[in-house]
Amino acid sequence: MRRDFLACLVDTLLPGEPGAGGRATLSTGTAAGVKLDGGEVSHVDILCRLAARAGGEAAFVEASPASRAALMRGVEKEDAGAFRALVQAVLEDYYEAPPVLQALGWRGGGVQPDGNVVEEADAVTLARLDRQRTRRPFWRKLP
Amino acid sequence: MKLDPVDVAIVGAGFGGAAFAWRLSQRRPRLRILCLERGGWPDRAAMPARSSIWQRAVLHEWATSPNLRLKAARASQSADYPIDDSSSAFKPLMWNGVGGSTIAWAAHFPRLHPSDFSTKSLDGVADDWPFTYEDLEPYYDLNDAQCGVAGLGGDPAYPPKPARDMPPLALGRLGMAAARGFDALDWHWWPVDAAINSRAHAGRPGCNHCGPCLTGCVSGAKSSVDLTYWPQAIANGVELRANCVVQQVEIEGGRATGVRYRDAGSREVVQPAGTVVVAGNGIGTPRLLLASGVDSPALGANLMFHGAAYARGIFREELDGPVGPVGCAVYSHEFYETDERRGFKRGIHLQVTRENAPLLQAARLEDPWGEQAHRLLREEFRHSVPVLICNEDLPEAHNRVSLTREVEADGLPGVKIDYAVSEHTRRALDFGLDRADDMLRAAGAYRVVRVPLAPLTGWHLLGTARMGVDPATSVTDASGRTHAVKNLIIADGSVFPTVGAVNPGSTIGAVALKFADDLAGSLA
Repeated sequence: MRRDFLACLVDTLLPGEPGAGGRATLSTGTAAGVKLDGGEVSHVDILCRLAARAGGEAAFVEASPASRAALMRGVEKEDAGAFRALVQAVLEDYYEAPPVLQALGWRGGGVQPDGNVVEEADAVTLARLDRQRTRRPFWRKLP
Repeated sequence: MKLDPVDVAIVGAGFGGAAFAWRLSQRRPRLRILCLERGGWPDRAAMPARSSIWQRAVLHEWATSPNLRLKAARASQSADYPIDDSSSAFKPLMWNGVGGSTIAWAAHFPRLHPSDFSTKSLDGVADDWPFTYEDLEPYYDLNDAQCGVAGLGGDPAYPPKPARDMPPLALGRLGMAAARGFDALDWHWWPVDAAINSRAHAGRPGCNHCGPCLTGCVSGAKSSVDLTYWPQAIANGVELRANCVVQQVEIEGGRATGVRYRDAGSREVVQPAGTVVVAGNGIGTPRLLLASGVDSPALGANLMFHGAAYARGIFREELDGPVGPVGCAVYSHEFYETDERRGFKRGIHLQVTRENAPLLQAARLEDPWGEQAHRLLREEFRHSVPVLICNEDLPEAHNRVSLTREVEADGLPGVKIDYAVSEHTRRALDFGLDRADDMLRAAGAYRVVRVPLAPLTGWHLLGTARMGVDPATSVTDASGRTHAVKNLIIADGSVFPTVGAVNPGSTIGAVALKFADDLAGSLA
């Protein structure tokens, strides 16, 4: 399969965000390093159907982003399971890419050994908990 | 090959088997006790949390569903068998190896309420347990001590419990937001009991909130029975043989004589035993016993999971994001006990959990691709509070485990489950969704996403070999002994006559300890 067809497909699934107020933006799928090589056995059928529906790989590439998205919506409707499997495969690479995680305000890499910091209850919450402590036991007693 | 006999052969090294083995070995140290486990010991070094691709693991070789793990490109540590779940609204989840599903659980550790043991007497539904909360209470306490519980005493929703070993796990911004919502409505809330170290305890470290508890705990902060019960049971002299798949309980003249298993080298081995204990979970246990010809009309019937739905509130304030442990932070039992004005009997459990990894948050969107998906994820990521709603599923004979005509790769017959969501469960879940919505909006959520049914929550495999008095409607007595074969005991969640509305791990452990004491007493 043509590389530009596969790249167009990835970027239609993951078009990225427009820039906004200095915030790091979510990049397109290909800019995040997501690649489909067309040889994925589990997705070949759905990729071929997308190309056929467009009138060929070149036609898909030349279509406008909105047309590509509409075409993909049609195929998704016909075979939601296979289409979702393709989407999942693309999402896996995208949301594990460090630049994407950083754009979300998170960090890449393993979550161990560093772990994460979680805040302890603040004074307001502890006061709310104290109100619970004063509640009469309400579990149901057997006669 | 036929081996020398043992006094007790236990099938399954999960929560039930581990607790049973430890307690029996403590009470009767001279007994020769053997446990056969189909899977191996967990390899913590190979758990995904240290890897940069930890997020996707839960969709593949560390998936919660054995069926998904069997399809994964990389081999799983779990020794799985396929389950035909095409006729089940909830998908069965489990882990097959030493530690059982505690390897991949969230370690949320609530007890049943006293009323859960008497639903027939109190509400005219289902059946009473053959013992009470008070009977089980010492075993709950013992199980808590063995597992190590982080929590807080004084919860008005429960009878008093012993002081918890550790303070509760940190609530986080998410937990505090939920507390704000419950408080505004004047509803009950409380920090959860978790079998997770909030600080170093019993030779294991405190949790550092890494997040993906369901793909195994690399640090060991999360309690799992390979770390708690098993080392002590083995020190007491129990032999644990891993990678041994029991094919059949051998029965002659109405008595179990032992088990036949396939060992790690695929050799057929006959292990004679004076007593056989099966603890293979609510699917594995009936599968083995049906394959062994145990004649009991209720065997396999009355499968219960817990109905499950969830809602997530979207907030403008910045919250925690995908930190752990996932089964925290707070819960509410405001609606746990029966109030017939709600249109159903029994109750619901509202559990405010933590958030998923970014990949899973993206994948769960109704429309997970295109510009809209980026916008929605941006709105939700670090701004959402999920609430899991569990209801008390009631036993129905048509919800069941049965054998297929296939023979699977593990040598046992194939297994199928049938499970339909009842009108009762639907009403309870809808009620719970409304209450979760109320709480989230009271806490400040500007949007609430409702998921009416959560199919991938089927961890709680219960009721398929239930306790009772009548052999026509139950499989075991109050000590787990099967009516059909007196020296055959079941020691897992299969024996639950009813299930309450909370996670069953704590009760599975307590029941197994009680059954071990009952057997120890009968051998005196």
